[in-house]
Amino acid sequence: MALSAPQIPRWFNSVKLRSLINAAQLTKRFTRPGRTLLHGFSAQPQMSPDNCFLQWGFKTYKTSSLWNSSQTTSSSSQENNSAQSTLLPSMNEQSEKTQKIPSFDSEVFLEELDDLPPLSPMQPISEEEAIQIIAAPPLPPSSFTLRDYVDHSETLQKLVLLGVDLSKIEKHPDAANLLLRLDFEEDIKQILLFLKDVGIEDNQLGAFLTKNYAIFSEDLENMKTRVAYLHSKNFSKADVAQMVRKAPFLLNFSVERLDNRLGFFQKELQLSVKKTRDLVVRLPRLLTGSLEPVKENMKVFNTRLFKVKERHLFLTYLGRAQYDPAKPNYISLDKLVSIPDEIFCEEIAKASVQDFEKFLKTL
Amino acid sequence: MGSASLSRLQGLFAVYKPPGLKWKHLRDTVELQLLKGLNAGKPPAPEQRVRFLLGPMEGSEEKELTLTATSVPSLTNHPLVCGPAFTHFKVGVGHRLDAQSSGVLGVRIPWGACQVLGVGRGCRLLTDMYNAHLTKDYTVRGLLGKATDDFCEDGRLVEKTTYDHVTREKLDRILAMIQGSHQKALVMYSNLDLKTQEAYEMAVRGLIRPMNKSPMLITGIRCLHFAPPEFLIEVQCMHETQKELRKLVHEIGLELKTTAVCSRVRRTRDGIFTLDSALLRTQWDLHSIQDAIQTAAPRVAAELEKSLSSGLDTKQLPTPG
Repeated sequence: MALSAPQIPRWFNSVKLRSLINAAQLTKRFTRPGRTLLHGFSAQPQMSPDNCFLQWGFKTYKTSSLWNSSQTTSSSSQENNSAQSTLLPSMNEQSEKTQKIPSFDSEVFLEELDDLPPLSPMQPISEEEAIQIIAAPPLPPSSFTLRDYVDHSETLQKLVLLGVDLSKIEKHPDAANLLLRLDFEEDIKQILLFLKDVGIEDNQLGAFLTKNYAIFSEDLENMKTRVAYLHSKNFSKADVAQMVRKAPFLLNFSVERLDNRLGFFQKELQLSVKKTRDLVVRLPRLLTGSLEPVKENMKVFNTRLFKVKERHLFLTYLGRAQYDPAKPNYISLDKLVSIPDEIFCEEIAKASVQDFEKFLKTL
Repeated sequence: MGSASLSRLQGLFAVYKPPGLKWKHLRDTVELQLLKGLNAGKPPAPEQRVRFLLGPMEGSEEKELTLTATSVPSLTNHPLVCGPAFTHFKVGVGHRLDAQSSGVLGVRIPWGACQVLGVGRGCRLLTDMYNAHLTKDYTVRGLLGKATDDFCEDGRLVEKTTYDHVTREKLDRILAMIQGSHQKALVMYSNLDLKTQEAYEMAVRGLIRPMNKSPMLITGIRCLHFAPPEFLIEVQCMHETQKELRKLVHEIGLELKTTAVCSRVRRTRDGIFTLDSALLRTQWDLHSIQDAIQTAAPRVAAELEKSLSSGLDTKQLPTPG
């Protein structure tokens, strides 16, 4: 059966190069588009070649999914599932069920296809049927951004309402794929309730999930074990909540890894157990970061260094740089850094802000 | 927020670069602050899209279906889905200052700097004027008595000498000699035939400037303060690098039959921007920068005007006042 160009559905032409599925899958699927359709059609010889676009449209989605299931055993790409959500309502239950199952039930699909009668665009149809045709533009099968899918996916909508920054997550294609495949009620809700249990507030969930979207692929039982382990090491509930908030990847580490790292810090810095605990609560990123000295946030340090230097030089210029607690007019070092400029000028340097600025321009 | 604030962001302004900061970091910080300010505008109102939903028609006994149009909120343009509106901003630095120097640094935001704008003719006139060989003023501090390999105070020590014989008069004489030799170089590099009447008039008015690449040229140099071992000189130059200024201090030391290193290089004027108009590090945010650009705009326009209308060789510029 020859396929003429206009009949090749739009979505073949709209494949964008930067797609979410990896290149291997992409080439496998699209090198021989003709074959894809033919493969599907060989199963239903009674199909007439001139189908209306819509019928063609969703049949090819299904045929491609058939093809996919025979080709790729791993979980199929998210395009199929998202595409299926635009199908007629009768098909929606099918697609919901098949979201979890990696390999499709081909027999069920074939039966459904047999039931549908062939339609030609010239055939008159009743008002009822006319209303039931959904002619919305199909979802792109692959895209580089989650914007195209957000209006059709409840999961994504609920995540946005929680405050998760999808524009950051879509930069990691695996993460975006994962989120599209998950169902809010079943998977995500459990994990969110668990996080609330650990002590993260509602308004902090968004920031947490933006950093650690991989938490959805963690096993809930494992994470409960890790929290129990931390409790057993005498970290209070508030401590654990603070640690998880500051270092979102903490719960992704296995119990032995956490244990190793805590032990490492205790040994290297030769601190008592209590001091290690305090340190880790204040800086949990030590546990999740690399164990070499980290040059994190050079810019922050540079800014702080500049501030300290400028203020110190100003005080020296004024003759007020007294850092010895025993002598009068002592200025404590943390006051030097932490207080804002205006208060520093008025109280510590006893000069005006304009004088400080003039001095800065002479450096 | 939007195109109004963006249009006020095109132009030139000056910052004060503190010592110890690389000019590239300065440029990045300014860009970050501008993006932060631009993205902080209030988010757009939530969008709606129209969907036609199937539902039973009201007032009918049988189950008749009909389509009703409803407005459904759409999240496609929600900021958490699209990301920030501005992600990139083109900021250019005019004449660079190396990490150890400090001083006035002109910054240029060209037309079409922002990703959102895209459209916008490059303002070649501004660029040309800015590269148009205006002179810069520096305050350079030197220390007599030692010589190092990179002419800085903290470099590897090469030589130590005495400097008791150095007096203010000797220093002034050396500086005058330097200015004289650079005057000759000025004329040579500006490719003017001094025998013509026009060239003579320009030379009288002090308008001779080389327009092409040339080595550092000093148009004025004088001693501000002399207290051995320290001395402070003011240099007015063009086409310079800070390293050459430090080398200049070293050479002054050699001419004085002693040695000298440079302890500080500070630029007090870059083209038309002076210390007063330079923004301090605490003022590198959207509003201050917008104000600075607006304030500087008339002076920049005047300078441009002067350079375009100076007749004769239109590229020659007068010394800024």
